[in-house]
Amino acid sequence: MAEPVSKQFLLPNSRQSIKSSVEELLDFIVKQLPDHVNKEAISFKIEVILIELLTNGIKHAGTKETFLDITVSEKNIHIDKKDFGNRYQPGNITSLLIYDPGYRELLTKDGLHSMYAVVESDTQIKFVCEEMDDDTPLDVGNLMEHFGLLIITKASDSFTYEYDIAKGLNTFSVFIEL
Amino acid sequence: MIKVYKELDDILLVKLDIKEASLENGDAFKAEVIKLFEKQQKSIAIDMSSVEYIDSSFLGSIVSVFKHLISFKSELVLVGLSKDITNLFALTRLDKVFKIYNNFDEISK
Repeated sequence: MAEPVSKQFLLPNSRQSIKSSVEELLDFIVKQLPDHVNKEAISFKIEVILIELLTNGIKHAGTKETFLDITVSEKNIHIDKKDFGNRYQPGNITSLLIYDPGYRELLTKDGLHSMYAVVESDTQIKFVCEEMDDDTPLDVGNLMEHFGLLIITKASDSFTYEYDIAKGLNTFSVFIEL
Repeated sequence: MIKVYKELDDILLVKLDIKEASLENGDAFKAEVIKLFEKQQKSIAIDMSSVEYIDSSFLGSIVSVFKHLISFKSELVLVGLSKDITNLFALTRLDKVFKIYNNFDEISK
């Protein structure tokens, strides 16, 4: 079995550079993929995840740069997006310290999906998405208009957010099984 | 950004003339389509075959326009989605919400 390959990228947090950054990162990842992987199918997932991680950073982090640590192994792809910008607040949760692990905060809900932030520890949450039944009446006027977290959650096998208070470090982590 | 290609009795056929549909131009797209709708008061079909890249912000703008037109008993119809954008609509389940056609001919029939 080949050894995992890791690389850190330092990227500008700007709207104009997203497309070129995504192309650079996708090129690196695809070159490391093991032979057994359906590259076309997995490339779609990786691309939409990278687009949304970087877009989210521009919208919310408020920093000039962002770090991406990428590891590709025989079994999975692990992407950590890190910045020292604004702390992410999931829904009405202002501090993870007051919630027990397993607590679910509803972030968004419409006739297609419910999105939750599930507390995993006093520093980490996991994003979870549930699809509504096809019989659920669809109120078109209530459709959500923010899809970033939903896309990353549905395109990945695990999507978490961790905040390091001491360092002021935000880390969004994505795992994709291969 | 949008150009009227043809006007039918009940729907306007419009081409979206951008390659990158993103955070950068989502608000402008929304404003242009709503302005066109307010002038013409018809459903709108948008050909997106020139779009190679789309992000969630632009997707949100499309949904916002769709909701606006629906509230006036009209529709926003999508045409000519690339394979990746089709996959994105399937992932977000928006393919259950929008009418999606391969080309304008399918609408005109």
